[in-house]
Amino acid sequence: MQEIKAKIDAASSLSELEAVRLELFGKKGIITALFSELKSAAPEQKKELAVSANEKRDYFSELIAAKRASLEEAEQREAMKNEAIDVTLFNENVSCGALHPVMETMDKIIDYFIAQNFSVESGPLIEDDFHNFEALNLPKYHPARDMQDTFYLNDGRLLRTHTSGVQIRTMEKFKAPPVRMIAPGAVFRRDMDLTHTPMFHQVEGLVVEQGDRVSFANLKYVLEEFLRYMFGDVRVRFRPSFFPFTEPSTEVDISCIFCHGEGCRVCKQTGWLEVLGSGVVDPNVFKAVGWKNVSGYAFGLGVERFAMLLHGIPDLRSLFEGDIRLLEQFK
Amino acid sequence: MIITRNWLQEWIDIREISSERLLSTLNSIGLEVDAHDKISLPKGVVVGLVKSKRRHENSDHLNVCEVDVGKQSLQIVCGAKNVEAGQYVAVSLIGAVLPSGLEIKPAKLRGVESFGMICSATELGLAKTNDGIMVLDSSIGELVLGKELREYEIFNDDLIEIELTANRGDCLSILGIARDLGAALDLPLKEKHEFEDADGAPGIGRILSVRASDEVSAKFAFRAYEIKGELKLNLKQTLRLASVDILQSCAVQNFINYATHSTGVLLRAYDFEKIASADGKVALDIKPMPNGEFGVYAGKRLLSVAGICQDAELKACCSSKVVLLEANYTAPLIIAKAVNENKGLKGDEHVYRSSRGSEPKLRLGLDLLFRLLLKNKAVSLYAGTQKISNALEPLIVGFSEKEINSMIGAQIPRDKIVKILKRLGFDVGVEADLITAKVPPFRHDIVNSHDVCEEIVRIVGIDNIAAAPLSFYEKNRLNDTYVSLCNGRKLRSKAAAVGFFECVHYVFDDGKALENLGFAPCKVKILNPINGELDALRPTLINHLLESAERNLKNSRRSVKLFELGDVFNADGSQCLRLGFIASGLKAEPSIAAGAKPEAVDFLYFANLIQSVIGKFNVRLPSENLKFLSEFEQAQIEQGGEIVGFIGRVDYAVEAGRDLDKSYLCEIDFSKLKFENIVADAYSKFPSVSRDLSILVPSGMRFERIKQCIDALKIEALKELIPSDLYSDESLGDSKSLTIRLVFQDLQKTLCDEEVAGFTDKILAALSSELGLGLR
Repeated sequence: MQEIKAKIDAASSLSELEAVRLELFGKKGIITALFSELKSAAPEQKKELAVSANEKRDYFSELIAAKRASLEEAEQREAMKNEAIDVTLFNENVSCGALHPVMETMDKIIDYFIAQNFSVESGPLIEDDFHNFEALNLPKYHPARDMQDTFYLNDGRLLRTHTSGVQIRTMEKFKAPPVRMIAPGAVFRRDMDLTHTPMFHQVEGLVVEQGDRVSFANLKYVLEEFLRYMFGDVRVRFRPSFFPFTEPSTEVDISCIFCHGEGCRVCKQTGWLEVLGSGVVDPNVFKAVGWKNVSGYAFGLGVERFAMLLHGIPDLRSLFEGDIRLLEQFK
Repeated sequence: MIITRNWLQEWIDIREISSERLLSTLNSIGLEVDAHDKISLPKGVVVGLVKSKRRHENSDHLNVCEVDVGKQSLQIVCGAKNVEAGQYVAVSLIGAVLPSGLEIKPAKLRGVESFGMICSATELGLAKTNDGIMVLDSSIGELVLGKELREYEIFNDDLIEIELTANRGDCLSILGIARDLGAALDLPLKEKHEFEDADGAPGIGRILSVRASDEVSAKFAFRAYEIKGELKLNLKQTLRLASVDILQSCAVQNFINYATHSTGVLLRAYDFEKIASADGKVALDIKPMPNGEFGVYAGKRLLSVAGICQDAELKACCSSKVVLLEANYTAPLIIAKAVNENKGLKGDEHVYRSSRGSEPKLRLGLDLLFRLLLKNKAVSLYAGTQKISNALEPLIVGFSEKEINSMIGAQIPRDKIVKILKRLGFDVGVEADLITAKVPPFRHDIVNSHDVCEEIVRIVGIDNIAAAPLSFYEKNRLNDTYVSLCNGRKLRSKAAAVGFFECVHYVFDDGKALENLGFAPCKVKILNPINGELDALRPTLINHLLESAERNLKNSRRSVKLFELGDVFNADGSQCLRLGFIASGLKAEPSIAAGAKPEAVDFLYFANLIQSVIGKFNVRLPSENLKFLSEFEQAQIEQGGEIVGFIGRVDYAVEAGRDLDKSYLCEIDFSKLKFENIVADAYSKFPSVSRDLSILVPSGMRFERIKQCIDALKIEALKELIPSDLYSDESLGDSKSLTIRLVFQDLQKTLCDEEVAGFTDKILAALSSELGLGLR
């Protein structure tokens, strides 16, 4: 019996174990023999023999079952080991695509103003002179028209040079204040070099209230908050500037996010980055839509500029080339 | 506009203002500093006097000079052609290091010892003033032999480039910028006395008469001077013009440039003798021209168009004997209109200033110029001025302190408002609550109280205005535009998630290439396209997608999947939003995860990707094929009972012509996509049973027909009908074996085998009788 137990312990595979099992429980097995002996045993011995046979049978059955379980586990583990993949073969080559950095930046900008209860408005890419220039206090021959080299169309219209025309369209649609809107979209200027593309994207903003409720200070508030949402903890600087449709006008700078104001190549050593144009709405703009006794502010920003700053993209033109070498970095 | 600190000092005393404060003040008042350079000279460059000059014995271009530098006299070999005895010059002493890095050491030039260097402006790091060495004169200060040049103010200066906005023509001069600075820094402008003619000078009336018709609404003033010797600028004037990059070779022009840059007054010079009539006199006629501009005529000859251009032949130069000077102010709108309406009218450098507003006080420019000329011995001045002055009515703007303050959202006291405006040249009156401001003529950009408010904001400084939130009424502002934007965003995110990269392309496209793809040209055309390849409004997203796919394949990409959500233009010019996709090459870049040899994209793979972006759709065979897609593999996409777009393989001609791998395209009309609320169906809690049927199908028969045949049976328990395998081999001949997986499920009960067999028999019978198909 000790010998058999040693054999069970020593079995190194399920087939070896099966051989031992047959030695015990097979037709000519030791345990089988014990039970057949039982039949021919004297009646007074039967009970004692039966108890002993049962004990042995149970003892070895358990022994074999336990051994089988442990052998099976070992075999499964071996199989797992064999089919295991080297986890360090993993690489970043994920099969998904990515959103375009400009579009994603635009989404991020829109989200901020939605949260500030602005509506999102849109206007056509092909605009008329009235909405793109005239109503925005840019009469014919105004030198500021030169600042926006325009694509003209054969039907007398033009490709919009800014999203500011949506200011006019929105006021026409709303008919009365209040207005609290942004207008994101593509705009076009006839300019193509290292830092200009003939199409780019802007987000326009306009807030109008009845009476003199809206002031320059309100504009300052919303833009400061917005720029910190976009760029983190930056300083914001306002410089007086000129746009025909706002008066007073201001250009807004943030402290350079690359050098933190120390001066670097991106900020041309000034420590500041120009990011926005804005101002108090010029009364001539309200006059163009026939609104009286109202006040408002407006702002406009270039989405590509924001995207380039946020993501450190050096080349504007690369944004329009569908080059996966750039796009895959935004997975 | 470039200014120098030293030049500004002529108009406003800023000695107490640090350069840093000067720059930040300029920025804060809206005169954006674009660039700032320090002008400074190295140590060891001193004033010297050339006492003698002799030719170098072994050289035909070198001179040996004795130069007195105060405490000593140095022998210096000099190669400049213009060196002469008696000149005061800039001498770099032994040990000085020039901006180029050159260190001055004792040297031997062709055997002659040299102990220093006589320098040109550029060798000292200054803007180029002339060929050869820089000759000093007392315009820069008293010349003391041996004195360090860096101690002279002009050599210790700030060069500041200001980017002006289009409305600030008044700041296109040193005076204009000084005036703005004066308001911001609360400093007065320096008084300039009017020029007084010398006694006994001949009057200009003897040689000139000027007439103007009544329609001429502009200002003109004429003066004249005679050149008797060599007309020359002094060193200070030359250095200033050179540093702001407007130094020319002609002294007559340089004096004009100096006066214009100083005051903003536009000046022209005519050669008197060339325009004089036989009697030695000139009679000028000023008349309006067809587009409202004004011409200056001598007899029939047009000398110039005010503020726009001048007949170059009649321009005065250094060899002229008598110079006739014209100062002019024409309203910017007149100039802009004339230049815009008449494309043949070529404007010169005056237009930049005149269209933005030059200085209307002509006397400022002429007086400054005559004061400079008065010191010049080679010149004699005529007395008096001939003027045409159809004065413009000054504009008066009225407003209240409250109005300004509610615009700004801060409290600026009335005294401060008045003070700022006065410094800016306004004539200000106060009556009870009303403030009236008479706008100075040089500020044509100011017409209403908002403009005045801007002046206040500028000078007060926006940084000094506290930000304040605006209170507003809550309102649901989520409109259709927003909903469409969100839907677009959803699809874009899904497209990116299944492997497409988002692109943004120009709405301009190549008209020729579009035509080749079979697109009709848009009725609306761009009159002034940026180039020949971007000359048309795109009617589709696919041309740019094809181009980008090609570009990526060239950059050794094996698998290219791109999409764009963008606007296109229909043939009638109406705008519409499309969603376009392209997949080109392999299904994935080769990798262990994707298999070492991924398959090429195919129709079903591509269509499935599209389906996972836009939701379930059916394909329909088109009644008419699209030219740029393969005739064998193209379909219309149907969603919610409407055709929303097309999908298919890129045609061979396009694929080969563009160097593309196997490619598939899809374009969808975004406005037709359904984003409806989904209502869930009741689903069965009983098990489903599936059966695979392998049928022999003759090649060329579309699966669509099999599906229609089975659908027509209207078996309610048939939940799914999926083509699960397609097999062909030689034994099947011209047919293919198609395996269809049928999934049955009943809402009420578990289906038994007999019921399922009943369904499949019914289906097989229909396929046999309708289409003649049988089991393989």
